[in-house]
Amino acid sequence: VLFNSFVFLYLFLPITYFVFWRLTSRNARYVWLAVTGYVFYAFWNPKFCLLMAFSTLVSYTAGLGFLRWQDVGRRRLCLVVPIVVDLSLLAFFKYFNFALETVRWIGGQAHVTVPIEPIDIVLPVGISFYTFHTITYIVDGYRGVITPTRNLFEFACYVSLFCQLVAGPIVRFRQIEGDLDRIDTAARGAMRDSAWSFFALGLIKKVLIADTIASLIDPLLAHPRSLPTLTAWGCALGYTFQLYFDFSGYSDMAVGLGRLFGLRLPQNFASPYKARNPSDFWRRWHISLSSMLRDYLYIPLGGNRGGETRAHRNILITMLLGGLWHGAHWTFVAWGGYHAALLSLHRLTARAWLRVPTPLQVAATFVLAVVGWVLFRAESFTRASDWLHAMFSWRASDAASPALWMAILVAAIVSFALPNTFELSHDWRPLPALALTALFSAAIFVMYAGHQSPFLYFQF
Amino acid sequence: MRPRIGYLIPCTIALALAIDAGTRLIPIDLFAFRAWEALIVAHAPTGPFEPDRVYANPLTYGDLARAPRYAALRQHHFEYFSTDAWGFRNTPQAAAGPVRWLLIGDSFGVSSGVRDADTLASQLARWSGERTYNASSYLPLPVNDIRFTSERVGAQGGLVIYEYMERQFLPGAGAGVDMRVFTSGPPRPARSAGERLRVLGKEATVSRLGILAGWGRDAIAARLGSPSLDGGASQPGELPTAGAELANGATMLFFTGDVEVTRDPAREIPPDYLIWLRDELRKAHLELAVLIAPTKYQVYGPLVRTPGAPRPSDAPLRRLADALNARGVFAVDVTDALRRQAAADLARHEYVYFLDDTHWNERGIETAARTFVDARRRAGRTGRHSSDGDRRARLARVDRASTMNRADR
Repeated sequence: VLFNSFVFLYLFLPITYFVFWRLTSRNARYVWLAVTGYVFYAFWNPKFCLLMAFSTLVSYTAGLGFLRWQDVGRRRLCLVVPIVVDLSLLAFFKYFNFALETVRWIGGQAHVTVPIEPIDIVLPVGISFYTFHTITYIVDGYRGVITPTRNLFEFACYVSLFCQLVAGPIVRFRQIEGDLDRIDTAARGAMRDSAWSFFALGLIKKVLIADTIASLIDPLLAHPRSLPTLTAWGCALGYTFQLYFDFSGYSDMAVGLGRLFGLRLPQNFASPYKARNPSDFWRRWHISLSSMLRDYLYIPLGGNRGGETRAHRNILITMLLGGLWHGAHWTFVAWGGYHAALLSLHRLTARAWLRVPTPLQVAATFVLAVVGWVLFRAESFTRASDWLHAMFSWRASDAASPALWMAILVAAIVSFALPNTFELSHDWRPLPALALTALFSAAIFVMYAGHQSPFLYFQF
Repeated sequence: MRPRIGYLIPCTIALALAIDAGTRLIPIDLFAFRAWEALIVAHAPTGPFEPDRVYANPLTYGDLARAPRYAALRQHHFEYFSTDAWGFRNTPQAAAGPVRWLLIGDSFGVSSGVRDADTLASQLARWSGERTYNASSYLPLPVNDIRFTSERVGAQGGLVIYEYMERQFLPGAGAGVDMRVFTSGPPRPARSAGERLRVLGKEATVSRLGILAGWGRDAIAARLGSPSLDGGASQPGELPTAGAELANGATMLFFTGDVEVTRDPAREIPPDYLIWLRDELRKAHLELAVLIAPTKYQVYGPLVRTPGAPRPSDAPLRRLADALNARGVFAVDVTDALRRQAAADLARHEYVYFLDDTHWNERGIETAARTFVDARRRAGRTGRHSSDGDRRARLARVDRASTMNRADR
């Protein structure tokens, strides 16, 4: 079930909301949110609920181990075993065929036949997200950053919370621990305005902007080789904004839904296209992932410590793995490598970069991000190469699409000139409130017209 | 009182839900442009359409012109579509049985877009004098449904006419041997409370608000200047359509799938299933005959003068007909007859397929029916009522039934 579906809006959300606020005890609310999370997940494939339950139990048990044992050996066991289990599940479901295909390809190059055929594996939706939820919980428990919970219902509620279950934000336990503790005393109306404001803005971003752009660029990108230069750039810009409005729209809806239940989810996007350099971009784009990669991979690898060479190596490893997290395809790895190169280059030229006028810094960072999204969007290196070739070799345009450029203009104005959703007060005056409601109604209208589409980040 | 977003948004959701739920009670006929869509929603468990229904629409038009950008090409005409108690397209007279011929086919057999008196079953009856039951559905029925229907309408020992349309997929021998598409019945009385509730419930699954929103979206897309005859840029639920200019200057719309399927002269259409079906039906004392219907582009492709338009090849259809006849399955390919009629009619701006629809019209159906019956006659296989007097008597009865049917309108 999608946030932008009628089953969710008319059935799932009202039932979840009204029953939740009828319940009074903390455990009843935990159980209800956990159950609704599993119901939400079961809309895709009920069988995979067992996988999530297994992952939850393993991580919960590890948390109990941290509470019980203080000796390093056992604590390390409680750290390693559940992480290995979680990552093994992720590796199998998401990367097994990818690894096998790679080995077969290498074997083919060396004229060696690898006698294993790819197997038919269904990727459980959101496994990348809830696996990271549990891993951050285990690592934070091991480090003593959090006190693991003894309450299984609370932990199950945290892992399977429907609003962040399948596409994030990747919420660390410590980020909503306080709200979970106070879940029985939360006031129903306290965050009502901001909750619905976030939700409405997210739906508008997703349905009116991202999906409109998608409908305009997807047919063009079926044959990137034949694109005229301007159209190729239009597609690249279009996808740049589509991805941002799609994912940040989803994140806003998740934040709004969390607030409806008294839970404050963290910010996931902070106007990333206003970034002044690649490092700044990654502090603003998919913040919950980039900060996780920083805290749980880059810094443990050594971070900036140990000299420049090690820092560049750590950046490269972190970004390559970050790229791979997005999908089992070498184009994602290449995209990660591209951003690693940008980050390293910026690290080397940071002082000189500061002397560049700010608008130029923003423009250059934006264009570099746009080029990177070509790798991210293309289904293969051949298509990426065709698309990039079309962008960087002049071919006159014969059929410019005014609708696409209009959509890009609107998206650019929203991205560059307006505050992001976390910068808004959400205390709308009457006229803007009515205007927002009108846009929300338009989004509902478009949903009725059959434009419901999955959120892009579900595939990751 | 100051309007707060925390109330406005949930109220908007609730209002949309209320409008959606409320409008689902509006009769679905008002939202359908032809009978097919209106009658399949609440189809009976025993047949492909809503049972015992009459759908009349004086302003129906073709499926290819559904999108607003093709609105100027719509050919409005009258459609009168009756179903029997089992949910098949038959007038009460045709369904009264017993019958000798049983037609099984797809939407070409159903004869989407024409009046009851002009369907393929009606015209086969008119030209042969044999009472013909139309058991056409979305796709031709599998063997068990054919056996059951032939017993039900008293067609044992009669002829089963399998309408094969060029684009249909023909499975291998033995396909669907354990399958039943429809239940055996008996059908529920159409006026019973249970049946009315069933129909209401089924029709309520279609969001009228969704249809209205789709119309709005299409209208906006048309205003934004989507290309009109490019064979692409289709909206969800819309057939990919291409327009082409005929030799008489008229614009005809084609389903691009039809254009594609007719391009390859080497395409093999395996006859195995039909040969196997013949053997299976023979066990039930039924004879199988195949009426091979071409796609619209197969017929009009040679008359298209749009530069670069591909030439269709009828070689696969001819090979299929030859293969079936060689194996003793009576098969008639009506492509040549339709092409000749289409060429002859072109200067008069008359057609054998609707300009704006994938299907043949009454003129094309008549040509196909007459060609089939003539071929049967030439082969000396006209059926039980083969004497002239008998045929005349039956023709008169069928014509009376058709006249009654017209008078009903």
